[in-house]
Amino acid sequence: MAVAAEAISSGQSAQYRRDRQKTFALLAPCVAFLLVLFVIPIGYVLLLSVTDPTVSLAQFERVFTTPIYLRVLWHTFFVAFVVTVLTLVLGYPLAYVTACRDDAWSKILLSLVALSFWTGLMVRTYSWMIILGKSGPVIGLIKAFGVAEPPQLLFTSFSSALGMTHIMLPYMVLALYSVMKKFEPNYLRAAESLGATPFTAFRAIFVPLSLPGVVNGSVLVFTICLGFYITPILLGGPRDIMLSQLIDQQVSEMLNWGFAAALSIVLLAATAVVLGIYNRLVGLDRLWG
Amino acid sequence: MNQPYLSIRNVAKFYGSVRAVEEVSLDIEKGEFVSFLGPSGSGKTTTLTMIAGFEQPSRGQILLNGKDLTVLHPWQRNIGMVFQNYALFPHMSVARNIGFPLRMRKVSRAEIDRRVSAVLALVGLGALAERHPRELSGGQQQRVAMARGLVFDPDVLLLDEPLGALDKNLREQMQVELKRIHHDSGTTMVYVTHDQTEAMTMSDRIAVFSQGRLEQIGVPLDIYHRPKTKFVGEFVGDSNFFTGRRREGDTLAVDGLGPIKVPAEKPANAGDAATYDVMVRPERIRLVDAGNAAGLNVVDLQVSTIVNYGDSLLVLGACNQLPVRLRIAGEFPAGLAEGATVKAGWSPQDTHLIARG
Amino acid sequence: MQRIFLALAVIVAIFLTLPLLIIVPMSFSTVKTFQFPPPGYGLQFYRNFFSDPTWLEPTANSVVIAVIMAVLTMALVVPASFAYVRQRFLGRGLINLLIMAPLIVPSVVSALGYYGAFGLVRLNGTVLGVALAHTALAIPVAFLVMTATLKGFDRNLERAAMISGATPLRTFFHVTMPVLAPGIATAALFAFLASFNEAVVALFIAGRNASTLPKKMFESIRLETDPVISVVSTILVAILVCFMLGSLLRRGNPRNAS
Repeated sequence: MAVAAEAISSGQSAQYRRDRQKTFALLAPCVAFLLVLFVIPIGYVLLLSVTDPTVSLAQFERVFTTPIYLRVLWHTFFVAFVVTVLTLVLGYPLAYVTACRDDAWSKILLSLVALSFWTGLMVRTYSWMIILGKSGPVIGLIKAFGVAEPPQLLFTSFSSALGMTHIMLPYMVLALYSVMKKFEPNYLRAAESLGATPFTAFRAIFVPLSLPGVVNGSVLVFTICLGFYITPILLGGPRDIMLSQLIDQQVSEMLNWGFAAALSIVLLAATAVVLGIYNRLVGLDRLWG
Repeated sequence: MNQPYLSIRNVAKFYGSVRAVEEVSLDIEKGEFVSFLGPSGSGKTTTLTMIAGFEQPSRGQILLNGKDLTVLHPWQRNIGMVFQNYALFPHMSVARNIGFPLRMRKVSRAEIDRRVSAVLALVGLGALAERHPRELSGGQQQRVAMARGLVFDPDVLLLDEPLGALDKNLREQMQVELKRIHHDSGTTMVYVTHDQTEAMTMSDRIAVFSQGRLEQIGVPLDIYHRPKTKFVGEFVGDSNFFTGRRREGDTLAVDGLGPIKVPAEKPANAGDAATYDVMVRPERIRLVDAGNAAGLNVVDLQVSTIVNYGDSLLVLGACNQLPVRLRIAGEFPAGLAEGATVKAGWSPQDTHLIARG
Repeated sequence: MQRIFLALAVIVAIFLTLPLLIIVPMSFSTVKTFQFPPPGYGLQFYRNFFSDPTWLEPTANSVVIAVIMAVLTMALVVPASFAYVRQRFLGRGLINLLIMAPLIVPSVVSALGYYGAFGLVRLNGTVLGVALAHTALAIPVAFLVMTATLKGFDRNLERAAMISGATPLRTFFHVTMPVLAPGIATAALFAFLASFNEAVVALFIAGRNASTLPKKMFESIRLETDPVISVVSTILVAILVCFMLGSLLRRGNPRNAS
């Protein structure tokens, strides 16, 4: 009996070894690929930020001590915050209708959100250039109201933020939707049967339960906006630029790689801090859950 | 004596410090329908899994026709299995699902077609061969799963709570069907369930599991009338349990009830100073009055609740604060009411003793 | 109150969709300026697009790159997701973080990194370089889809196959893969789209020889050259709409319910 027991248990440890080899073989290609073709490039940026033009933290010092650049950092956070709030305010009713109703409306609206989501960044940015442009419909409308000298709408912080809001809206809606979809309508019915008005029931029960979606969506939109590249560059103006526009300038106009790298690392750090706080409080896997 | 067909010997399964199965030994004859009965966590499913080969025993052997099963992988064992959620391959038709084990055994196309048709007829699903699982009802999927498990003439068919997902009427219908299929195919079947009615109605023998151990194995009536442990007595059927001490011949002093008469023969493992678990089935107790109480054990019962099932009554009450349950078939007896005190009695032969120890 | 929400939702939905609708008439415009409403309608810019190599070449590049990287991404992600979901091992959190990293790091940072690192190995301006970078960027998305699909997979199907006589290898090919196929297709599609739409990294590393459609669109917008971009946009939106309508119709058909 003891021999049989030993045979079974040594068979089991051989099995563990085979399992571990199998796990390694399955994971290794992907992990190795990412280490070489992602971690190394990022590491390169970090290296650049502290070695160009000399080995020092001078570039970082420059970022944090020059008022212009500090203003850029501040402006970036500010715009990201504004866009987050706007997408939240606009997206909440849309998410509510698509998640909590089960009729033709909810299906149509959800399809429109999906259509918006899958349409590329470039197309949507371009569409705002037409709409807000000098020969576009908005200026045309303003002129029709008799304003002789309409303000410039395009190539401003306003147009940049508007474009970003439009592009980020589906992300917010989808984040809210996935949390709202899990809501039990019976909670509201229970509240109303206990004497609450529909509005009170909504405020006291639905809204608090939708908060995880609000947090998810806000963190998602905020972090994406911090590093938003295409839209601010195409729609934004020369004044009040965002971090990505600054990086673009440093790279394409000034050819100042070390400084651009330092700015990128600052951007990365800011993103990491926000996500780190989120991870502490909620857990990163909820963001794409 | 013939060698048993499927033999489980001293099998144990540990997951770290958790003892899922401890020292289970039982033999199953060819063609038998044996149920593994017990609550969740009792080890019945783990034991079944070890017969299938998805888990290896930590200790012990499993022999089929004298040959050690544990050295074979599941795909080498010629054992069929029906899963609780049927596990029908969604991308294959019914016919291809059922034919799958035969394709794995490189059986010819013509032979596969013949055998699939035959087993479809066996389970009563002839016309549905080209449908896909998602188009079938629960009961139909159940039958397809059985057909797939039987088509290759397995040595044993394992069934893991196959009727759990069906509603009551369908379940009862399928129980009858399953018995018929067992009879028609003659395949040895091991059936895991937590539903004791199911086990009682379908099995040749029942193996009762609790906390990783085999409590008792026997024919249904034996399990019911002569449970060997208190667990079996309580798990199978409704029961009253009391504690008895100081036995003298055919008299036993029972806590709370006083001296009662018991069958004179001892249970096999009892010493003279033993303490006993005393079991009386509720349907063996009836209301008595002075006239018809001769030779019976009689107690005073304070009735607290009466539940009327239509065809029978469940009377819940207490004797000296000890809970007592009766089941009365037929008409509502005169003089029975909630709050009343009545006399209840049962024959000494209906007192079953289990020695504690 | 429900009505207020519905009204608000519809207004927001209009805000979301209207800009896309503006592009369509723009593509039929007869003038080069960004004038809306366009003064006249014609197919001139469509003809321009289909005969202009400076547009057709990046389009072709985008498709080729997206196909290459989709295959490569799936080859890396499918085994990794199997290991991640089904095996127990130390360092899961770290591996998860590594795999998700391309999603977390802002694209301009990655772009800068690729430009610098690829410059050292002469991968800038090559189709291979862009495909490799896009693979890294698409891995998180494909991984998310694959792990979700795998988690929803009923393992009893594999046990049923094995007890029916199928070895683990045959189980994989006869049962596991066919059942996972829709999920794998979805992950591959997401990867394809991630590459096809990717602009920032492409801007930095594609150069002239491996220029992609988004890069060309960006340059076209920046230089305000011509509204051919509205033709491209309209075509892309039209393809998307057809695709969505197609999948809606297929789901409506009960035989294809999945």
